[in-house]
Amino acid sequence: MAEQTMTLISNDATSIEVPLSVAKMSAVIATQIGENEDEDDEIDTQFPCPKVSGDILQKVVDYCSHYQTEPMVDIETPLQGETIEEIVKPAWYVEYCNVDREVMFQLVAAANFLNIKPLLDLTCLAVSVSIKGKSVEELRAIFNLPAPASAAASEDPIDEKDSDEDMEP
Amino acid sequence: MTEAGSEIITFERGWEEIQTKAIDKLESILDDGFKNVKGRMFGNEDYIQVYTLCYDMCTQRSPYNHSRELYQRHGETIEAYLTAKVLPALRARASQGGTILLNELQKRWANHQVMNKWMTKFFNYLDRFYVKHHSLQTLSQAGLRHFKQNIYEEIKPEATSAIIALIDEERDGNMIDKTLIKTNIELYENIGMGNLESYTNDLEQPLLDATRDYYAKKRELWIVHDSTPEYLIKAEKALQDEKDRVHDYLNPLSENKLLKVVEEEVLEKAETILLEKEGSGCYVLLSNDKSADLQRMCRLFSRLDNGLDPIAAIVKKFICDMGMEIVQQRQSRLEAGEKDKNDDPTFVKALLALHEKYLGVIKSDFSGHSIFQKALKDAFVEFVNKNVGQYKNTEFMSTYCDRILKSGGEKLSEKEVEETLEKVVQLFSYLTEKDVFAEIYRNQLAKRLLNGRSASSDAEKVMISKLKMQCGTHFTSKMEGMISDLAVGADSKGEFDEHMKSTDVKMDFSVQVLTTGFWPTYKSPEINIPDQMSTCMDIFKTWHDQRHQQRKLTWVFSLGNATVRANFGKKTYDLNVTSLQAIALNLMNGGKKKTYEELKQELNLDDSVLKPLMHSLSCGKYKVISKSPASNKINSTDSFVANAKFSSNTRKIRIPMASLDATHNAKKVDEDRNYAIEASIVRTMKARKTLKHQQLVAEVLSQLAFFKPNPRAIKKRIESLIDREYLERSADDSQLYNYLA
Repeated sequence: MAEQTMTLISNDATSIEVPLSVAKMSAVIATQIGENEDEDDEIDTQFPCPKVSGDILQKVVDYCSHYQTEPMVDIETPLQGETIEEIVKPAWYVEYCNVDREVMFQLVAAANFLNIKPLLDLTCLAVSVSIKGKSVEELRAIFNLPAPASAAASEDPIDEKDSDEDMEP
Repeated sequence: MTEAGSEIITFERGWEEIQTKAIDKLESILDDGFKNVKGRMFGNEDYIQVYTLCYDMCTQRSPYNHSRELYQRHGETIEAYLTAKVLPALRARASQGGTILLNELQKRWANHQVMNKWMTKFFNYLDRFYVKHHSLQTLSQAGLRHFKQNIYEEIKPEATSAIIALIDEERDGNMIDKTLIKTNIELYENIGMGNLESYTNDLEQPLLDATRDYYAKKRELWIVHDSTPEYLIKAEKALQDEKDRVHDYLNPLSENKLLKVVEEEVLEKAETILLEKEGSGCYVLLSNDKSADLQRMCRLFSRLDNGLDPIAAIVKKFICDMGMEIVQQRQSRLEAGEKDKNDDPTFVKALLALHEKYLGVIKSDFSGHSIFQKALKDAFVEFVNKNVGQYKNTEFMSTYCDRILKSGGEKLSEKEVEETLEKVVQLFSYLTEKDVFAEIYRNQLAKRLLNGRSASSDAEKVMISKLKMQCGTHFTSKMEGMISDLAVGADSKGEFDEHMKSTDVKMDFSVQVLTTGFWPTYKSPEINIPDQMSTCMDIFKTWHDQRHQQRKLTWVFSLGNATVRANFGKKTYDLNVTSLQAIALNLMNGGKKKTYEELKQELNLDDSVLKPLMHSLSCGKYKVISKSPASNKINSTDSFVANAKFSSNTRKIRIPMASLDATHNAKKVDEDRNYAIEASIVRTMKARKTLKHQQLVAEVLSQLAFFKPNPRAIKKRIESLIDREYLERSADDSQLYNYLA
């Protein structure tokens, strides 16, 4: 019997059909379909991902699919090096990070929304490596933070990059 | 990182959407019992919408981040539902009876779990960051806590008594809804969020109390109406039922506590009455061989701490009574006129049979538990050492071994011999005077070996090795020495026979050399020896001295045997006699009449030897010598002549002679004991240097394994050692001894 599949739908109506095991990399999806496994009812195989665009969803699916055959080695803290190459294994995941900063930001958001832990770890690491050594002004520009940043500004973005902080060497 | 184009969601708008899309729907599904639900309650689309809404509300930048309010509302929603809907429903049911309440509770608990699950899923984003950063309870924990505070704490007294009432019903043999109990008990287990405190305090403890009451009543009922075996059958079933009950619906950790309550009520508090119950108590069961009932009794009471002690005491008393009966039977036989001799196989066999039987009973019915083995031992020690009549039981046991081991005794196969010996040795282990046994046994062994009456040297060795196992090498070293003397003798006999052939003495002559010390001491009268015999002896002495220069050879004539060719009239007989008899016969050869005094002089024997010697030849079954005047007693005025008229149907005749030595020497045993006591005293004092009298006596008593001396005997030995300056009394304290190196 072929493995069951699930169709993920992006916010711009791109549909990507993936095996159930790939979809379940997302904890958000896994909790929803997990309970149906022992029931005979038709599984609702359409799963909308309203915060994710089609091309980013494709990138996410690439990651999750590759993970099935060659899982990423957990990123250990304290970090074992300075660069992505030194830290991330196997090499496929290093290459995966080779994208624009804007795409990387969107991947962070998607991983966070769908709750895909290894992907969130990887993308946060990539962002933190890329901002290393930047000045305060540069960082404001990168993260689109309002001018004299008060304490309020530090709360939310950090929320999402909780592991990011941990990984700073 | 911005969500370009997305607008800010106010809390009011967001919550309204969550309320309508998620909460209202969820509550209405629960309220009408899932009637209109097919498949999942919320599809992927519905679910992701609410999730996304919460996600957005939690990820908006301050001041539009609504995490705190959402977390608060999540709790309030659950609480409100529980207090507004669930609690009133339960309260209404509580008055309608236990089962109805439990059914409602079961339903409401299941509903709550569904609600909690969906609420956790919808608000999941809170769990991931907000809850973590503020060290709050997770959504699911909070949901459970609300149920505990608002429902569980309110309703638990009613629920607990409903559960206990159902359990009591089941105990009385009624069918109950076990699943209902199980799901409700799961509520007690899960409500503790990982610890069982609620279960233990709110359910388990009241249940244990109720169980105690229940079985206390049963005990009082059963103990009046049932015999001990019947009672125990019920008790065993009750324990099994409670065990099954735990397995069916209680927490496994309750098993021991619950069973302990039952054990206390049903077994512990009734033990004395049950064991001593008239007509069916432990003693009665033993005397009727009620194996199954005894097994059950042992099985059940072994569950209690020290529960077997009173049973063991009864077992000991019972075996003791049985043993005393055997001793009593022997007494009665003696009183009825039976001759008191040193052989009483009936008595020994009865003891062996008793021992075998109860060894078996203890193994099978009391699962070989050490406490019963000790009871058996204590009982046997008590009566095996009870001597009745002139001879000691020690001697009967040794003589019984003799019967088994000598040829022409008991007719037993090799295997039976071994088994019987094993049993005798078990019995032997209960004797307090093991040294006396050893002495008697050694004498009897010597007799068997020297008279060639030992049926099997293998069996002899087996017995000795058994004794060795029991008492150690020291105990059997002499016996082993005796056996090896014979083995050496058999080897050297061939060589000596060769040597004999080379001489011109034509006589069948062999010598058994015994090592002094291994063997009992025998009387060896300085008898005048005829020439033929002394020639042979000289040949042997020369031969032996050549081989063993350091050894001194002395001759024990009383143990020797000879075959004498005798002619009476025309008939010829072979007389099988002892060496002493042969010498006396040699003197009577030729038909000359001799007086007692003449014989005494010519033979150089004193009365103690000569009288039994002549008695054997002139007063026994075969009167080869005639005595005048004829009588059954030898007097120093008698005279003797060869009996010319002697005739017999058989050609070979054995003429026995009364032994010159007692079966054992009581004085010898005493001497050995004195040595053993002294050795032990010196050993102890050498190690301790100074010791109080009482401690020394206690120490010596604990060291002596083969007999139990009385303290007075020990005191005597101490005094003797002081005289010989091994010890001294302390100058300051007359109770204190010092060791003198």
